[in-house]
Amino acid sequence: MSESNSNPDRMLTMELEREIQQFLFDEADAVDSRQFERWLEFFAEDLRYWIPLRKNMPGKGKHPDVGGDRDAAWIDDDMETLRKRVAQILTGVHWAEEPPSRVVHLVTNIRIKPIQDSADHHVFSNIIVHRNRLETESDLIVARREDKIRRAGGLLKIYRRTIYLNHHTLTAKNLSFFV
Amino acid sequence: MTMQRAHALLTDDAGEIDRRVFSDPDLFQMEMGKIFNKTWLFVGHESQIPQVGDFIQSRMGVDSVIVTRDREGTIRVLLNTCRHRGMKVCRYDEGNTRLFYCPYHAWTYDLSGRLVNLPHAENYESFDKARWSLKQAPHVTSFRGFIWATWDEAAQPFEEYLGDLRQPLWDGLGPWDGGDGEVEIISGTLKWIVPCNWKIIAENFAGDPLHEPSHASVNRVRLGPGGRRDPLGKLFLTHFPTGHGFVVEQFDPSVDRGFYAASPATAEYHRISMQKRYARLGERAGTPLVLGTVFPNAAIHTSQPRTLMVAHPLTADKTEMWRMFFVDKDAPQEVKDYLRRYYMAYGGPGGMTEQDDMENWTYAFQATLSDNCRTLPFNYGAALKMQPLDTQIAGTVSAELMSEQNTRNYYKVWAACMDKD
Ligand code: FES
Ligand SMILES: [Fe+2]
Repeated sequence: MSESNSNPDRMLTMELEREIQQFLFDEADAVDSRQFERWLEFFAEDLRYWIPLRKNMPGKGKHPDVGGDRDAAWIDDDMETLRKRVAQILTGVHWAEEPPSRVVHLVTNIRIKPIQDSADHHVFSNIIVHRNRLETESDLIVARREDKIRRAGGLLKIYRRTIYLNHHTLTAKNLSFFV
Repeated sequence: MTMQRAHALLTDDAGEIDRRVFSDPDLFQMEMGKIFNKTWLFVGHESQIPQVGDFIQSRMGVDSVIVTRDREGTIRVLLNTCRHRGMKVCRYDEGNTRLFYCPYHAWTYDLSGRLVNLPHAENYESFDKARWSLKQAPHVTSFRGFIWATWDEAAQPFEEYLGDLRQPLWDGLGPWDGGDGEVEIISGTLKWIVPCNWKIIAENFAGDPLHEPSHASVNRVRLGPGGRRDPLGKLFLTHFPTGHGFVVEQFDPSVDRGFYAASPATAEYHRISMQKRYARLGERAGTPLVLGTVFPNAAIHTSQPRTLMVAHPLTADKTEMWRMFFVDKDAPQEVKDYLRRYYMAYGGPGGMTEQDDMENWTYAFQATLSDNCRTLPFNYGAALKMQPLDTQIAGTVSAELMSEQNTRNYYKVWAACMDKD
């Protein structure tokens, strides 16, 4: 969760900052309004969409409280798996999301840092995701998020998304919605 | 409470089961004493505590326990409550230590649970430290690296508890090649809470092939050529007198099945491993376990995916599911990486298979709460009169796959535990 690989010398223009913010808000809007095919367009083919586990570890010391790269995680998707998740919802027989849940993403605290030696950007944000399902079943997920974004063929694309949940033991019965 | 209270809730040879079994708080309280304090429970794997001083926090029923490897290398299972006034002495998920230091008044215990230090010891009259150790499970055993413990001093040995399941489970928990190597848990346990009774989860894995419609969507999307996995052979249900229930498959082990085609490295490793397995185990390689429940609450997928789930009871209406994944320790890293991602896409709260189970369990459970709903028993009657099949497969095997024999057996054993003095 370090922001140290940014280059303070490369200035962000206001236009670019606005563009990236708008991009993230549009992305949230696509998934919340259930335009899943459109939502997939926000991601690059070499995507890693990763939600590691959180651990209770000594606050002092060298043991990270986040699961490692090769550890079990809540989600560790490439583009192919993400497409399958979308296809699963669209089958109409994915009972965990049928009838559909209502999901809202709040995306806040956005900070944008250029990635050194590249034209890409590292975008930090905090998110709150609310799911309501059927009558009163409700889940609230809070997380810190890190995206890596590049421009390809004129379009911004997320190629790496890491979501650090604030939760240790999940109180949501499943993650059939996109965090 | 009558002697046959639990049995009275099962009728028609357990083909019908009273809904109170899943939601009555008194029954839940009884289960904690008569099942979770009596049977063998899964607590962890040796690969999680390889070194002296290593520990993990685990659970047995509603209790937090610490699984440690002490200075002699012995695995200990300690109740995670300070003998002074109850505080948890360990609140880290894992680590390496010499001592567990209680943050409340600083009573301090070693890796074997012995009280080694307390402040103001001089103010207690003839204080006998030995009487104030952490409570320790009297029997702990490692079965191919998988650690099981029981609170029951008089418990039968674990291998006896497995009975005829011992050999197939031994084969199922080892490496693919059928040799003496080891498997390892991929670091990290998925923990999440499902609002339903723990038995609804445990019985599902004990063998409920009729719940296939739950997984229609993942099968359609295809995580593998056979739906959510590679195509399986002929399937059977088998169950055991101590309550365990498994699904077994049967195929010709001399023929390569071309599994894991999506990952050439994994396919190759699997193909070579299976050849060795056949050479070592012979025909036994052709009747492996697929998945099942070791009574009462440990569910193991031994083939594809390879994963272990524990349904830890919290209250009658809440269960904490723990899921971990395992791979051959000696598999190439590329194979481990591929399998890890496949297993996670399959199981856990984000798993494309398991998500739908949680939906069904949650809302099925809701309908065990009202008096009105409780007038209607649940039905477990599929293939009620089926004759057992005479076969080499261990346990009592059903000739009909679409049977609820495993779940009926599970509840009969549950009732026998509950009605025992
Ligand atoms: S409760 Fe642990 S020292 Fe008092
Ligand atoms: Fe299932």
